[in-house]
Amino acid sequence: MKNISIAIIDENKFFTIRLKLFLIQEEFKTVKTYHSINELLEEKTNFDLIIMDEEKFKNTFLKTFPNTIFLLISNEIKDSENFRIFYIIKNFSNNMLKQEIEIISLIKNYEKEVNKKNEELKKALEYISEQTDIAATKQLNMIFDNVSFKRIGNYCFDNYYSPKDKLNGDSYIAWQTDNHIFISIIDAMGKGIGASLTATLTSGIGNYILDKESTLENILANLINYIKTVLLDNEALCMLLLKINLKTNEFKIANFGMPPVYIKKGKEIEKIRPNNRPILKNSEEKIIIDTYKKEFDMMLLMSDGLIESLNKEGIPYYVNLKKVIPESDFLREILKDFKQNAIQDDDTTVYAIIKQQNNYEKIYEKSFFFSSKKDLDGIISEIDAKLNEDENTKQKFYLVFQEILLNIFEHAYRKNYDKQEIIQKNQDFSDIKGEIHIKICKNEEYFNIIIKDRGKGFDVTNILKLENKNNFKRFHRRGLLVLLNIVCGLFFEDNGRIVHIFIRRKNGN
Amino acid sequence: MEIKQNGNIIEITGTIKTITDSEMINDTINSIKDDIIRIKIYDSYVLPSSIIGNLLRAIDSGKQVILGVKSDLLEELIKDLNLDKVFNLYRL
Repeated sequence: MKNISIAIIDENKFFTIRLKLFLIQEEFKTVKTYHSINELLEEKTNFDLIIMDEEKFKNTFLKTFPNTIFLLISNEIKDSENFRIFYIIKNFSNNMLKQEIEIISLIKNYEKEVNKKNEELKKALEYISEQTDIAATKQLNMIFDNVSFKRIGNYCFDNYYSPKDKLNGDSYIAWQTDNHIFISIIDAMGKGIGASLTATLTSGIGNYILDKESTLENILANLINYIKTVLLDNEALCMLLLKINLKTNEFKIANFGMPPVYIKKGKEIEKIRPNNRPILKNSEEKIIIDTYKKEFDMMLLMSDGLIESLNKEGIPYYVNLKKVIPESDFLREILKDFKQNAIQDDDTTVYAIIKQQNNYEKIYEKSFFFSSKKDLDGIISEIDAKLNEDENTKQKFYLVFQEILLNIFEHAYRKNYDKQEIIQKNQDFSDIKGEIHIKICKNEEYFNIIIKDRGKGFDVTNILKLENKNNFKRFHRRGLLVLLNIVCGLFFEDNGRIVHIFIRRKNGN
Repeated sequence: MEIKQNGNIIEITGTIKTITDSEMINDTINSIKDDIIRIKIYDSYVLPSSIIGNLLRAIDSGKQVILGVKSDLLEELIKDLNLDKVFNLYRL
C-alpha cells in the first residue's frame, strides 16, 4: 500500500469516482472525493495531495493547507514555479497520472522523513541545551569565592567572570585564609564540555587542597598531580596562582602559560610574565614560584579572553589595554572600555586587586536614624544639597543611595525577612528602625562613598560569581548588577555592614 | 520628577532621585490594566533596580513593556543588562 493520502475535488462525480477507483487499484491507501474545496474545508482533514481543476485553485489554498501538494488539472502543459504545485493536462492518461503521483509520493515521503529527523534533532538540541544549563549551574556551584567584592585590609578585590557561551573553559579560585589571599585563574585549552570539565575540576580540587595545605609549593604540587590525571594526551592547561600575604604585602606567583600579571603603580605598568609552561599530562618540569614585594595601585590577573578579543579595528584588545590600564584605577573602568571597544570572543576572566589610595579627603560624614522610607529620602535630599557636581555624577549618587539605603531598610534590621511574602501580602516595613552612617570622601578623580549600618549583615561569599548578563532576568541581586554597571568599584566589609563605593568625578566612567 | 499617565502611556521627566520617586513610578506601572505598558523616560540616566524588577514582574504576568529612553547612558545601561529586547527598548 502506498501511504500518501489523496483528495480529489471536482463537481463531476463520474470523474472523481473513476479517478478514485484507479488510485485504489494502484494501492493508494487513503483516497477521498469532494465536490468542492468548501466541502473539504468543513471536514477539516489534511491530505498529502489534492487533485483539482486549475481554474478552481487559489494561491491562498497553499496557506490553508500548508503541508499539501496540489496537482492541478490544466488546459495546457505547464512547468511549475512552486514545488508544491504540479500540473497535469486535462485529457491525461492513467499512466501520466500514475507517473505524476509517484513523483509527488517520493517528494512527500522524503518530506515526512526530513520532518521526522528535524523533530528528532529539535528534541536532541533541547536536551543538550537543558543539560548545558544544568552543567553551567554545577560549574558555578563548584567555584568557591569568599574574596570578590570585598575590601580586606587595604585591598579591594574585584572580579569579572564571563563565559563566551554557557559553559566556561575558564574557572577561578578566590580564597581567603587568615592573613593570605589565594587567587587562581584557570584556562583549559579548547572549548565545550571537555574544557569546562577540566577547568571546573581544577578549581574544585584546588579549593579542596587549599583547605588542607598552606604553602603554595604544596598546593601546586598536589593540584598539578591531580590535573595530570585528568588531562588527555593532547590537552594542556594554563593556570595562574597568586598568593598575597596581607600583613607583609609580599606576593608569590606561579604562572603556567597564562597572560602576564599587570602591576600598575601610578601611570606605570609592569608585566610579570609566565614563569612556567602550560601543564601537560606528561610534563615533569620543576615548578617555579617567584616571590615579589612591590608597591602597586592595581594588580590584574586575566585569562586570554580579554587580551585576545578583537577591537573594532580587528586588532587584539591587548593593544587597547596598554592605553586603558594607566588611565584606570578600577577594573570596572577597564571593563567599560572593553565592552565598548571589543567583541568578547572567548571565555573571559579578570581579577583585580586594588590598593586603597590614601589621598582621599573627607567632605561629608553623618549618622542618621531612620524608621521609614521618607527618612531615607531625607538622607538622599540632604546629601544632594551638599553635592556640587554635574548632573551625570548626581544621578549616580541618587542611584547608589536608593539601592543601598533601600537594601539596608528591607534587609539589615529585619529578623525573619521574606521579601516575596511582604510584597504578596502587601505588608509594609513599618516596624523597621535602624541607623546608617554615611561618609563621603573625594580625591581628584573619584568619590569614595562609605555606608555603614548596624544590622545583621549578610554573607558576601559567592555574592556574584558570574557576570553573565543573560542571567539578569532571573538574577535576584539586580541592585548589585545595576550598580556595577554605573560605579567604578563596589566592595563590602564587615559581613556586608560596610559598603565602599567608588564613582568617577568627571567625564563619567 | 514628574509622572504623566495617559492610558497605558507613562511619561517620566526629571530625575528619579528618591525612593518615593521609584515607588510612584512602580505604583503607576501597577495601575495599568492594559496588556501593553508604554514608558517614556526623558531625563533620567539611570533606572533603579526596583523599577526594573517591577517591569520584569509585569512581563512575567503576561504584559508587554515598551520602553523609550532619551539618554544614551540609560540606553547603554539597559543594553548592558541585556534587557533591550525584553523591554522593547527604543530611543526617544
